[in-house]
Amino acid sequence: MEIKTIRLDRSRLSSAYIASRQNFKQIVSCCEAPSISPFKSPLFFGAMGLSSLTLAMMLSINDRMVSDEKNMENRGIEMH
Amino acid sequence: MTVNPMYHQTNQRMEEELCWITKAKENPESFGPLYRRYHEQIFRYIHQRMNDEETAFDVTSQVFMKALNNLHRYEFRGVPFSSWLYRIAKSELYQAFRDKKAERTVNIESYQLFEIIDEFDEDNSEANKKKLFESLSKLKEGDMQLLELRFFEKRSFREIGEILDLTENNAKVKSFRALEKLKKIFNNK
Repeated sequence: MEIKTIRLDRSRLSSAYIASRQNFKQIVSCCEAPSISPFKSPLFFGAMGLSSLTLAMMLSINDRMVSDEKNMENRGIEMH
Repeated sequence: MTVNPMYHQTNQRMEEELCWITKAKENPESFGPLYRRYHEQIFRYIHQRMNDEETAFDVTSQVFMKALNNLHRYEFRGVPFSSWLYRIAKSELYQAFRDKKAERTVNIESYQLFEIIDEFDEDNSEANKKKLFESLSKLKEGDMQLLELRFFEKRSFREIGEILDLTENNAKVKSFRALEKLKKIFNNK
């Protein structure tokens, strides 16, 4: 590290002026909120869980409907 | 040499700060008292080492943002909270120099030069003042840091050690060696 300049008797800033430049709001606003990854949030699991459950129910209902239709068709063939 | 009482930390003050830190770890808004207590000290430390006032205010803000963001990592080990802040300030300051946001500057008062001339047992003449001023520019950064902390800011060896990550005794030895180096340059001029 190179020392560029040595200055003698620079005017001293007053404490009141330095205090007037405090900005605590800026410091707090820049503080990173503890971020939870979207994949780890309860909302994600809730949404994923519900949609998986719905999908599973729809598939099972669909399967049952298809098998009922086949049964009906088979019965129809037998009756003829 | 007298030590600046501004940097003195009592046990009561340290306990009070520890309480604020614990609260601030839960709620960043509770960091306010620590910010208000140390804003001026940290600003002056930074501004003393650079030219530009606005950059000094910016770097000071960065120091407090970094402190607040890393507060969960802070552990009390008998060292005042201010030393932790000064270490962050030192790191942010040198980062600003590396990023060329500011130029390294040493700001000295005339009376401080005369105090060093006194330490050398020399006359407080204008010629010696000029000679010392020129000698300072020949010092290396590490030695200059020690002289700034000890002779210009009048900090205790304990605090110098805490800021520069040295033992109190090592800070004492290194500070006197830096002064000896300056004296050697001064006498060779």
